[in-house]
Amino acid sequence: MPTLRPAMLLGLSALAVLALFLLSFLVGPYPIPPGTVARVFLAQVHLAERGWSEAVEMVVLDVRGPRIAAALVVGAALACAGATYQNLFRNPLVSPGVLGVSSGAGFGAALGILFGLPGAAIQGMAFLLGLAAVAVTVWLGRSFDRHASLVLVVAGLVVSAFFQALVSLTKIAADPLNQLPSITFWLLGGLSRTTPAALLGVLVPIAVAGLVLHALRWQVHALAAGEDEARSLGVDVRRVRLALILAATLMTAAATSLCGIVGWVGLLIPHIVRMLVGPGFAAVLPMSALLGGGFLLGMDNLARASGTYEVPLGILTALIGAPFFALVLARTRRQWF
Amino acid sequence: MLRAENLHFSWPGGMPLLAGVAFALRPGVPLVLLGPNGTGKTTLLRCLLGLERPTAGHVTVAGHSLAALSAATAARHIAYVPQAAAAAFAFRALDIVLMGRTPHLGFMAGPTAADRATAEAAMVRLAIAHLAARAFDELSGGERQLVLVARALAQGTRVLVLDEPCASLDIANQMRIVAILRALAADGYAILLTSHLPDHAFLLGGEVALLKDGRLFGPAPPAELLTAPMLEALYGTPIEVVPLTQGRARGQVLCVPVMPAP
Repeated sequence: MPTLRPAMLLGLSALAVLALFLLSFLVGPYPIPPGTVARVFLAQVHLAERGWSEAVEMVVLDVRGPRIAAALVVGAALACAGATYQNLFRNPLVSPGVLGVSSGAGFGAALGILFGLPGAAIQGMAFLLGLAAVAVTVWLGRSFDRHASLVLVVAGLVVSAFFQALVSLTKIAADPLNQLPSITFWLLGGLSRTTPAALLGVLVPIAVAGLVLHALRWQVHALAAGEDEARSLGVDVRRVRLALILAATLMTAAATSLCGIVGWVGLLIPHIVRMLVGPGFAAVLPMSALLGGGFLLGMDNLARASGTYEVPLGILTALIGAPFFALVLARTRRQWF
Repeated sequence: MLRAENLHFSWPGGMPLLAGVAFALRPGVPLVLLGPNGTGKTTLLRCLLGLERPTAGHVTVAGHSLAALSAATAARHIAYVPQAAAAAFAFRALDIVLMGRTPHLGFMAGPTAADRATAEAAMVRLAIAHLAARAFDELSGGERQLVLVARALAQGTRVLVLDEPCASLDIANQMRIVAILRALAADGYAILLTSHLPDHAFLLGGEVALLKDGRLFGPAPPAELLTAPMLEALYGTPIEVVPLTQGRARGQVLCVPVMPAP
């Protein structure tokens, strides 16, 4: 049971994430003292005189800035999508990739790399194929049974397996010296490719989807009672379900197109959030955004601090997320059996 | 209040589950729906709640055709009390009751202080205010059932549909539900409930209807409809209907299955 009020926890978490955000500018292979970072910020609003090299300013504003923002946005998106799917399917063990979006995005990116497309096009293909995979899942689920949500999970399994096979096929076709390592690294996840333009490209769909989830938060709350009960509580289950799938998919596809396949955020964070603020979706959603963003930023800081040869982000989130998840499950077991 | 007209229902290619069911639910007269397992009680409830669309006939609520109402509008007319099952997530009892306010929330808006007050008042009315902060999963079966009734009251409808509200409850909790339903009926609620115990129809003092092979008998006062031959025909097992003539339960009627000869 939460001992603090959700609003208070939300405020505290926001402060903690803000502190982490500021500290993150100090992390990286190129050391910049905190005072200089602070003055680079102040100079942007004309409160400090420039007294540093252009390289310093570039590292802070063009390299670290977008990447730190991307970690926050992507982490928030993955955690919110995970929380949404877990509520929708009334199953605390589903992750944002449950409907096949990650596998689809992975195939899109692999294909883009195989064709030697530029970075923005690879990102675009990952995004579109992520959406396409979920569209196939929804279509397949409907042809099994129009009403039940659970068949969607089964359809997602089928579609994921299919796209994973396509990814493997692409890997075999790829040039083993240049393309194969690129594909492998893309699939392991990471934010080192982040550019301001790439970030802006994913920010819009994620923000729109976030707004949709926010608007539907109380419908989602009632949906936790089960679909029939939700309908009798006045929820237009079919429409809300479709809107939730669209929003969560949009978020995950956008996030994945930027950072590759980063697991465990969408599975782990909603569990921690429910432990803190209870299962009500109206409190779970903003808290998931905060903690998801904070968690991924922390992980990405580790990646950046791990030296010139970065440990891929997806490996870090699994290395730290999996044992942590086991720990969380051990504590919350009675909540979902 | 709630009216079913000539309801037919069958799954595609299946046997008819409902064949011309018609009845009217009136305020103040709780209606108990009896019928053996698999006879279509659940299907009938699902049609009345708009969860299934009848293959023919229609349901009206307060003069509106149910099929033409949005989910939210329908939920402002009819509230449903399901059998108490464990939730997928560990909600507090008050969170569950607050779900009853869903059809009244504005676009993008959450529950207001007034919505919370309505939810709390519903819990006070059923004398379960002390459970508000407790985890729903940790409540007893009887307490869970009361929380779900409170949710239906918070929904602010005049029609309550309950799916076996006394199932798996001990005798004291069954009587608690019966007393609550009698009080709600006296307040003008239109109440429909299913049950496997014919005694509930007598205890509730309203009407009873029997569903067998998709056809509905009644509604009628229990004393008229619940005779030994009728119950035997309904359930296919010998049953005696015994009016008690002495003791504190004098005047009550008991439905007793006849023990088969060894």
